[in-house]
Amino acid sequence: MAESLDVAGCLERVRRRDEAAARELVAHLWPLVIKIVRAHLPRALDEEDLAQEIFMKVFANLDQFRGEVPVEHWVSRVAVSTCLDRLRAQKRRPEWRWADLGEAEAEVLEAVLHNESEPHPSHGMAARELAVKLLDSLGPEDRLVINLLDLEQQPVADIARLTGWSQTLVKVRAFRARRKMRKRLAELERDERSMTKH
Amino acid sequence: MKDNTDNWAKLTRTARQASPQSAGEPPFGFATRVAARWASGEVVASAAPWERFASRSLAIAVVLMAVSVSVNIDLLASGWLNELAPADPVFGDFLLAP
Repeated sequence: MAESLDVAGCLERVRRRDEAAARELVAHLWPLVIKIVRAHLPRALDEEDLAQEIFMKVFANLDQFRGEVPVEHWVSRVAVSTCLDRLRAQKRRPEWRWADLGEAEAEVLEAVLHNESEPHPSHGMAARELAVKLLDSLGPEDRLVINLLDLEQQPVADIARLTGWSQTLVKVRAFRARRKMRKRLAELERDERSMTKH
Repeated sequence: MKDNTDNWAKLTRTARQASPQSAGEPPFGFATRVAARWASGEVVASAAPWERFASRSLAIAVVLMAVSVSVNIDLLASGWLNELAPADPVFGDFLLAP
C-alpha cells in the first residue's frame, strides 16, 4: 500500500535502479503531484503528461536529494518549478469577456458583483472555474502565488519554501496580482453593463 | 458604481467550497510507464530558461564564427601560408626601428 511505504528504503532501492521501487514511489507520490498539477495546469496541457514530466525530473535529480527535508517537500518544489516553467512557456494569456463565460460562471459572477451576501456554496465549482479563467490573464509567477494563497490557502512561508522566493516577494506578488484580479472583475462588470444596454 | 474591492476575495471564498477532485491512485499503467522510461535511461528535456538561452547562444556563436571565417578567409589563408608580416607600414617601421 502506498500509505505504508517505507520511503527511505524505497528511495534507496530506486538509487540502486530498482524499477519496482520506482513504481511504488510514483504511486506513493501521485496524490501530491497531481494536486499541484491540477492547481497550476496551463490550458491545452494534459495533466498526465505534466505529471509524467515531473516524475521524470524527480528520478533524474534524485541524487541531489540529501534527505534534509521530507521527500514530499522536495518533490513539491520540483513539481511547482516544472509547472512554473510550463506556465512561462504558454505564450497566450487570454482575457475572458463576459460573453465567453458559461451560464454557471456568469451566474456566479453576477452574484459576486451584485449581491451583498456570499454566493451559495453550490456555486463552488463554477466559482473555481471562473477564478481560474481570471487567473489566465496573469503572468506565471503572479498566477502561481495567487493560486497558492487564495485558492489553496497556503501560508506565505510555505509558498516561499516551495518557490524559493523571499516572503516579501511572495507578498508583493500577491498584492499586485489581487489588484489585477479586482481590475479584471471591474472590467467584466462594465462588459455586463454594456451587454444589458444593447 | 459598486465597489469591487472585496469581490475577488468573495469569489475565491466561494471557489474554495468546491469539492476537490479526488487524487486517488495513478491511472492504470502510469507508474509502470514512468518507471520504464526512467529505467531505459530517458532524460527529460530541461525547460530551464538559462539552458535554453545557453544553447541558443552557442548556436548564434557558431554561426557568427562561420561568417567571420568565410569573410576573412583570404587574410587567414595568407597568414597560414606566408610568413607573418605587419600589414601596417607604420607598425612595420616601429618594429624594425633600432
